Amino acid sequence: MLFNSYSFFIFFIVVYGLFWLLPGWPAKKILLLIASYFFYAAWNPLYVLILLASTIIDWWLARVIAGAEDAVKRKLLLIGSLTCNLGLLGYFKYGHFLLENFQAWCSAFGIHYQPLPFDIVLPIGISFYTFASLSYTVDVYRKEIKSDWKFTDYALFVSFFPHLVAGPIVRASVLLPQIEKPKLPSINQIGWGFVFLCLGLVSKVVMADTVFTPVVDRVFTAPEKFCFVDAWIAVLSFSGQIYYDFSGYSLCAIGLALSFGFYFPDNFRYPYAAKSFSDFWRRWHISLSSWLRDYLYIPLGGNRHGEARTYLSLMLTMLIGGLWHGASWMFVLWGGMHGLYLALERKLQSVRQSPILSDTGKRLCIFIVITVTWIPFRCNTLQQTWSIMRSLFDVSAIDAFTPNSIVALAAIFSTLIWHSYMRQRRLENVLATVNQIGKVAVISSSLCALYLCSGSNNTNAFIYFQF
Amino acid sequence: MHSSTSNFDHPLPDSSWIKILAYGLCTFIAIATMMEADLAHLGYQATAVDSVEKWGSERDRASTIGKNALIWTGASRGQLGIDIALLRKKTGLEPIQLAIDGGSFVPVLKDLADDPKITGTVIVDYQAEYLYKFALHEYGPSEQWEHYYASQQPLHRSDNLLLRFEDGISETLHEHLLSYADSSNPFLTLRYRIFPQTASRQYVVTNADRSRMADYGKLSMPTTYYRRAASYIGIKDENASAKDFEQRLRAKLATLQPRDGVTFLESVEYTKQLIDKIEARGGKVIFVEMPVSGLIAEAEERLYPRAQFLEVFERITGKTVLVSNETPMLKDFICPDGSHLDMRDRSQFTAKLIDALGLAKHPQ
Repeated sequence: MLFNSYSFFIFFIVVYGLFWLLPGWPAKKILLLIASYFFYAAWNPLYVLILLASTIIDWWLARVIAGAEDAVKRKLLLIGSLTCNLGLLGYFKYGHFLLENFQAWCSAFGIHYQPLPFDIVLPIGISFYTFASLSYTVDVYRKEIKSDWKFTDYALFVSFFPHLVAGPIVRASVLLPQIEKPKLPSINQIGWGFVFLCLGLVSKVVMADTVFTPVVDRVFTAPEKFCFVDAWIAVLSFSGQIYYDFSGYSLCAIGLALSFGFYFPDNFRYPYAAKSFSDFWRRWHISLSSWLRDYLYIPLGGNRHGEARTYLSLMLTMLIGGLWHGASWMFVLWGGMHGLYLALERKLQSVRQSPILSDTGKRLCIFIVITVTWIPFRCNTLQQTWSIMRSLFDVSAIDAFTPNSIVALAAIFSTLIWHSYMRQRRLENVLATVNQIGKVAVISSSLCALYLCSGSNNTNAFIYFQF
Repeated sequence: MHSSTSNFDHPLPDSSWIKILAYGLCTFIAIATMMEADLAHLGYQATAVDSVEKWGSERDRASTIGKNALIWTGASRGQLGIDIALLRKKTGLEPIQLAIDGGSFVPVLKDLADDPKITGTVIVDYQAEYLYKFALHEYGPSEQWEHYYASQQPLHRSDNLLLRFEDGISETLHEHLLSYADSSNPFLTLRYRIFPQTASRQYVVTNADRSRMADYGKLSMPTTYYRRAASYIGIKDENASAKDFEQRLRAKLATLQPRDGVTFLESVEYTKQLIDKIEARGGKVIFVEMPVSGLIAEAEERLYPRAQFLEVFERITGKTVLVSNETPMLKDFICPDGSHLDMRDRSQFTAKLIDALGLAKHPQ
């Protein structure tokens, strides 16, 4: 059930109506739990069992960890939780990839190995709920959070439908106390929640799917047919597509949660206004980057064990972060490139104190490098990546601008200007300066834009669903 | 300082957003209603929507019928020229319309070839242009639709109640709103039907079985015919109603050179493999070239001369293409826009085509 579907609209109306009709906080929570499982079952009813199993195991293990006095036993139990969670993720998400690579290795050594067909369908959102769940057991192990939550509260934390399938990765320490404590949304929260939902849908349906996707798909499907102009427009457009697709989903999720009275952390803070690569990662998919920082980079040693270890931790974190996005070497390559940029940036900062470029220059440079780095992320193979890279520098012919590419180009430049303007601002404060008529115009034009872009046979699901 | 869009660690500003949302919603409803009223005033009527989901459900059906299936693939010529109900009645088979407007038949044929459940008859609307373009990776919307269909397979769309529910709501809503008539969407409707100063008229109606009916009597002729020819030949921004337009078209036509036969060959060899795959399991693949007229017919012959294209296709695949323009009982059908049959001719054409192919239940 996509947020931009009619069935979700009906699902939400029913759930929201019942939420207000049911008396008492416990009943409302049970309703949200049932609704979340129904939401998940809409993709594949059987996979609800995986979600349930993962929830039961982590809830129970966390209680045992908290109750154990012996440090070794606690560690073993934590390893048990990690094994269960990562085992599930490994089997469903990386099983095929591992087999394929094992087969390639065997064949490189002259061994013929033909694995049995591995046609397991990836349970949607498994990467997101596994990471959310993992953060809970690790936090309990670190004694940063209590473990005596009611099972239904914990199950709602893992499965709450706004964040279940594509994040943001909400941590237990953030959501569980909100679930435990009875608190109905204020009229202000409901209003804001719906505004976010509306703006999130515009991001996805209008910007990502209508403005950028056709331009991106046209070139990435057959890159060898395009030259400099088209290739650059497509690559820039992919920056726009992935940003609006994912930030749109996050905004919908934040808005939906807010309309029920729950706060979710930010997931995007105008990332294309970043002045450095580390700044970019503080603004892009914040819930994942902060998760990787707290549960991977720091445990790996962070910057506490000398320079070499810092770079190693950084690189490993980014490689694993890349692999988290999907079972493909292309994602690992993308993660590795970002690891390299972060390492180089760190090195440069340590040897040179005075900046070379102005702030605008830095933002532009970072944006261009990040945009080019999206290429392996979007491509399925190295060959396709290479083909796009070649087209970027192929000036043998001048492509004619199409109306779609002009609109996409204008949209990406507007996005850059908007991000620069909003870098130090908050959306709510900016909207607060607009008068009532202006606000009505923003909402009605958003709804009109959604209507105008509907029914265009554009069937793209959210990109981050595959992760 | 935060620059976020949510309010996790920041108090919400006090604003009456619920009231603003309500006003915004009312404004939107008023605009959408005005669009509908304007379209009704222009004489538009709601029609079935030829969506990728509808195509997908027909494609699903094709896998369940087996030997009794009569599957039509190709582009808009088949959608406008074939009467599906008559095809069902006269052949006793279960026809399925899988043609895609502006799409190549090759990706669809490949999908059918890869599906072991396809054991019936597949009729392909042969167009050399689409075979040629296939080798250049130009598939029109076919590949996108195919890709979407394949992506939906693990979800078992036809068995998934929720997806069927989604398709049902979408279909019901779109089939009752004029803004979606003839598979349009509100944006295209606004741009091409409401905004233009010359009043537009609905001339195509999409049926629930994905066939379409075009009433060319509602369009100004020969302007429509010239416009289609100009677009086919590659002339842009010309005044199609000008008196000397046909001369200009003919002048341009004379400069057209045949397409590259080697490129075409690649697609033909690939198509042969697909035919063999279907026929190896007892299926049957038939090729039909739909009628074309006037400048479009001349342009097609110049770009894809029979000797270099159709005959090569027939030689390599071992299939005979039933060319409507050369078949005695079909050659008199005229396409008003040069490329598609009028709704008044489609039943008669379908009946004669069935006879020409020998598909009638009781051949006469």
